[in-house]
Formats: sequence, C-alpha cells, structure tokens
Amino acid sequence: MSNFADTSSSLFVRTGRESCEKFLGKFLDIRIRPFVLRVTGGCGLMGPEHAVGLRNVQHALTGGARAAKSLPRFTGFCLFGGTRMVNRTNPRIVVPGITEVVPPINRLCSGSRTLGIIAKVGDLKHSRHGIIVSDDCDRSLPLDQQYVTIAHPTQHSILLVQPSADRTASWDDEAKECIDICDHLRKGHWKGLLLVYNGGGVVEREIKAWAELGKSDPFWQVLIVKGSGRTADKFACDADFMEQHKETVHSCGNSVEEIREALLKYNALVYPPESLFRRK
Amino acid sequence: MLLRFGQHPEPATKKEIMSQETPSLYLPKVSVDDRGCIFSVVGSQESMPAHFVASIRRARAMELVIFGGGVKGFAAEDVAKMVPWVVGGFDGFVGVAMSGGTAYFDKATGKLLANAVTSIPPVLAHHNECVAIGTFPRVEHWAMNREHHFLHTDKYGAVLDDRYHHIAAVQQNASDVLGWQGDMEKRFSVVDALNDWRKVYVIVNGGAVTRDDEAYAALSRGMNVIVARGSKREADALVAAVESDDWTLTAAEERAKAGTDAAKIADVDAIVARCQGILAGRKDLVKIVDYGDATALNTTLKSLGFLQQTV
Repeated sequence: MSNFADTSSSLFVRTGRESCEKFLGKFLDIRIRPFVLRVTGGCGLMGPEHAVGLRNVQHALTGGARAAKSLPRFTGFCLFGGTRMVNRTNPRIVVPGITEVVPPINRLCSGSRTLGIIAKVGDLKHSRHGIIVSDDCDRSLPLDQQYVTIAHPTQHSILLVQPSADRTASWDDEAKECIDICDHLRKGHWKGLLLVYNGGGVVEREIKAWAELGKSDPFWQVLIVKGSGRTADKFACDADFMEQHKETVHSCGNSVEEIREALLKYNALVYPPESLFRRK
Repeated sequence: MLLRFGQHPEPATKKEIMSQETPSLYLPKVSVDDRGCIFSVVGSQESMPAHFVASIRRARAMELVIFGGGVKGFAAEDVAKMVPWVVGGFDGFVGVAMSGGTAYFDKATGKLLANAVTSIPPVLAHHNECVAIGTFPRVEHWAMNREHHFLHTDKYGAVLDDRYHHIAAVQQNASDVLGWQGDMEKRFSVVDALNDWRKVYVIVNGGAVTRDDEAYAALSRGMNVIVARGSKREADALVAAVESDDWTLTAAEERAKAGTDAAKIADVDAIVARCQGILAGRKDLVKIVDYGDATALNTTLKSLGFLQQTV
C-alpha cells in the first residue's frame, strides 16, 4: 500500500547555472512519448470571465469532462509553473489560474508526466498548507480575495530555480528555464509546443522568445487560445505578428473542440489505442 | 556481398560464439545515428549533452548495466570466455549497456577486437536490440592513427570504439588531462539521473579505479553489483570480502608496492577500512557469479528484475 511519501512530488533545487541531472533524468522515462508541452498563461491577474474557459483547455488535454476513452488525450511531458494560488484567509479555496489546468493530467493521462518549474521569487516559507513561494498579490484587493502562491501539491516533480540561497529570481526565470529545458530536448529530436491561455507581461515575453526561436527551428511551435483574453488575444489578433510567424505560431478558438483539434494537429494529443479498434 | 555503411552482417550464431572465434565486426542492431558512433567531448563541469540523453532513450527497457574492470592477468582462455559469458548471460537484453567506450585493435588487420571489458557493450548491442554508451576520461593527448584511422585515447593502445552508439569523453579542458577516474562523476551523474531504472554494475577483474570508483562507488549508492568470481584482482577481492570477510586481497597490489613503507601501508589500510565501511550493511547488494557461467549470470540478472520488461 502506498503512503504519503510514495505519492509526494520530487523537489529539486537548482542554484545558479549548476546542472540538475536528476531532474533532467525525468525525461529519460522511455515509457513516456518524447513530446514536451509547455503550458503558460494567466494567474492572479486573470479575470473570472476568462478563468471559466480554463476548463476548455483542461478537457481538451484530458479527453473531456469524463475522460472519454474515445477521445484523444495528452501524452508526453508537460512543463508548467508548478504553483497554486490559494485564498489568503481560507487556503482551502483555490484561485483559478493556468497552473490548475495541468495537474489533472496526472490522474487522467497515464502516458504523461507533469513537471513544475518554480522560480524562487521571494523567501520561501514552509506552512501546513504547503511551501509558500510568494506572499505577494494585489494588496488593493479585499482581504478575502487576496491569495498566496504555494508549490502545487499535485505534480510528478518540481524544479525550483534560484540564483543563490539569498537572492531571488523573477517570474521570467520560470519561462527562461522552460526554454532551456525545451532546447535541451530539441537537440534530442523531440517535438514541442507552447500552449498559451490569457497571460500578462511575462507570457508576452515568452511568446516572443518562442516565436523568435521558431524562425530558425520548427520545434518551437506556439498555440494561442484566442478569446482567452489579455496577452493571448493581443497576439492572436495581431495579423502582422501571426503572418510573420505563420510557420510556428498558431491560434485556435476557445472551445474544447477547437482546442482539441489544434492540439491534435500539433501532435500534443494521441488517441488511446483502445479507441482505434472498435468492436462490431 | 558489399555492406553499406551501417549495415551489419548477420550476427554470429551461438555455435560460432562458443567456438571462440570472434566475428570481425560487432556492429549494433539498433541505429541511433546512421552516420555511426556519436562522439561527444564534455568538460568536467558541463552537463552531459542532450544527444547523450537522446541515445539513452532509444532503449526499449529501463535497464542499465555498467561494466567495469579489466583483463590484467588473464590467460588467453580467460579472455576467450568473456564474449560467450555476456552474450549468453544477457540474451534478450534491450536496455542500455555502458562502459569505457574504448577497445584495442589488431595492428595487422586494423580490426577492432573484443578482448576487453570495455568491448562488452558493443558485443551486446550486436546480439541484442540494446544501446551501447560509454564514457572515458581524457588521460592523454589524443592522436589519430594514420594507418587505421582510429583515435588513440591513451598510450597503451586503446582507441575509440566506434561500435558503440554514443561515447562521451570527459576532459578537464583542452590542455589539462584527468586521472583514470576522471569520468566517474559524470558517469554516475547519468546513473543518478535514471530515475525508476533498474541498474547494476558488473565487475570483472580490475584494479584500484575499479574498486574505489566503480564497485564500491556503486555500492555506496545502493546499486546492485554483480562480481565475477574467478576473474582475479579486485573482483576476487570483493568476493572474498563478501563470502568470508577476508580483506587480505583488497588493495593487494597497492600493499605489495608499499613494501615496508609505513606511511604507504597506512594508506592501504585506510583504503581497506573505507571499503569495509561501505560494504557493511550492503553485502546483499553484491551478487557473485562465476566468470564464464552464462547461465548463472542470466539467472542472477533475472533475479534482479532484468531481462523482463520492454516498453
């Protein structure tokens, strides 16, 4: 019988530019398809009108609300922000954000691994609700709407990056680390995709970085969910930008079906074997 | 029949193997790069290259076996046992076989030989759909053999073994050389990175580096070690230590060199004490197999969970 230690996420801390072979070794699980999906997007600044659409992304990745066996689902390695926002006064309340889309993959997509990349943006704290990554949110919000960012409790492994024990990183460092990891995998002939839903300034810089890299290597594919708001819509509606990067930057509508179709097109989803052979 | 590059002749039958005639070619069954053996040069402070990771992912089972040791003191018939032993013992292996990435060659014919422990991964890769990878330290300035086009990696005739899938040479920098154990930290970084893989170190013969940086380093990491009884030197020393708590063979070569020098004798005693400390509580990790007994090797591997899973 498994116990809490067996089901806990591995946590690796990388300081500066030291290598972390044990975390990279997670990609050596040959049972998992060599595909890397980087999921990024809106967190604390995302409005509720867009947060409701996160479910579309989740269902597209996991085969629908009921994880239907006939529908394709994600297989491969998924990199995401590795955190969760919880209500400051009632930590049992989870604040919706892009990082809530990925963890259900653990349970519903057996051919996948979820790997969180967390930038140490502040002094870490250990609480009974989890490791606090950031205690910083918009203080103009009413107290009962303020949130604390903790390490997400549901993921296979976490890589926490810090410049040193005393210095803090920035939220951009998460994106940079993901690009470094993806570049490492790219050299090993993997396929990859950046999936964007909503997002702010950090996501904007990440999209631009992937788009720039995509000019020289088609590995760097980007899929933007149009209609998810903020940065995603800014780029999806920028005809010049989309035309300039038409080989590697793509958009899709904000419905389960449209997202699923796009993810299939860009190789992020695979039909389960049992769905391909139907009994007469 | 002319062979295209990368094409290999049919593997030798077991009868040919058992007749102790080694095939002239040990080209691998699986292709990682159609051009041949990938060769990386890694700084001792660098991470292993991405292509090394990619090569490992070509395996079909999450099983890693590392071969360490040598053949010093072997008679011709001892050397001749090696290939049948591993071919029979590892029959059906589809994981990753790892060793030093070098081999010796016949100066008359220019053909690579299979008479060293480091030749075992290519031998396995020729007979099975497994991946052969290697690491070795740069202990000497390399030189290209002009007649046979091999890369000499030391002063003793060892050359890069292009029958591997991927070899990573570890160097300090372009000018300075490392010691014989200089690649071990890198090698074990790969070992440690292979989460959820079955791992075993196979020890044949071997001296100080094999003892300290392979056998006991593996044990200290909780790895299983299969040691070949009858293969002499530190392999037999480990067997004696495990079976009889007899430590007289451990570091015997160093002790012989120490003579009556008290300081050197103390150093040797410290080596033995260190080994005793590592082995304490870990004897169950050591599996002893008679050198040359392929059936016993095969049985031991299966008891450790090898040769059973494919992805």
